[in-house]
Amino acid sequence: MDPEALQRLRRLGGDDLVRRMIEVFLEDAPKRLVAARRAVEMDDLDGARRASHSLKSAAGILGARELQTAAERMEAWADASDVEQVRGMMHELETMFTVARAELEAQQRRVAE
Amino acid sequence: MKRIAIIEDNPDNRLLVRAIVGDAYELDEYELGSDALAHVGDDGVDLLLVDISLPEMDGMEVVRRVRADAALRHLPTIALTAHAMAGDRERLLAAGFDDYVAKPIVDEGVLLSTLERWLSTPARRRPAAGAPPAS
Repeated sequence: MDPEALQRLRRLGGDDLVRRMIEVFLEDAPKRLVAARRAVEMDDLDGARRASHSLKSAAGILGARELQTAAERMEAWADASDVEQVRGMMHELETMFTVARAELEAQQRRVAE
Repeated sequence: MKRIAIIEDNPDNRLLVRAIVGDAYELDEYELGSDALAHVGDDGVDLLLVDISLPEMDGMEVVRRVRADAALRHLPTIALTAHAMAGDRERLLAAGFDDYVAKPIVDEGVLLSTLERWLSTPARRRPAAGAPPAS
């Protein structure tokens, strides 16, 4: 995680904005992952590209750099129409989301204290 | 108060833009280009912020429709794009955008100054599609 991203959000809108951004992310990102998984299973490159693009963008705002990188790579493979590589990225994308979620949930607990 | 409509399917981006805009402008949020196009003409919107990567109708198609609509043609329309690479600027301007802001938005000042610049500019006179060029 890049702490600077959350600090920037905090400067902009205080702990309240940080809390709401994380809340929205934790609600929205799992849907994008499901969409990515479904797209991968159906060899739907466009669906995979859109889902990974959204994840990349949301992860970038919150500073979840590893998730952002994984999503960026999946998007690049989808752009290159390489179904095998896109499929190969799915596991990493899910793993990096799990890592990001744990860190963001810990962050939520710190803000709540 | 000036009114902005944002078309963006990512809720974190909408929340971020709302936090940046604060009380400076009214902000209408849309997830889909088709919803926005159905409303902005009647709602007195002064500027459109359009994400490029939208489901169903992408941002490039949204701006094409804005420019093809007699009632919306002059609306300042700014792209929000993660693809801020060399050559994209020309592509966005050619599609009809007036300007663009790169995502992720790391510097709120860039967004605010871009909004201010276009909201304080008198509506550009765009020739109607198919009309002869003004002499």
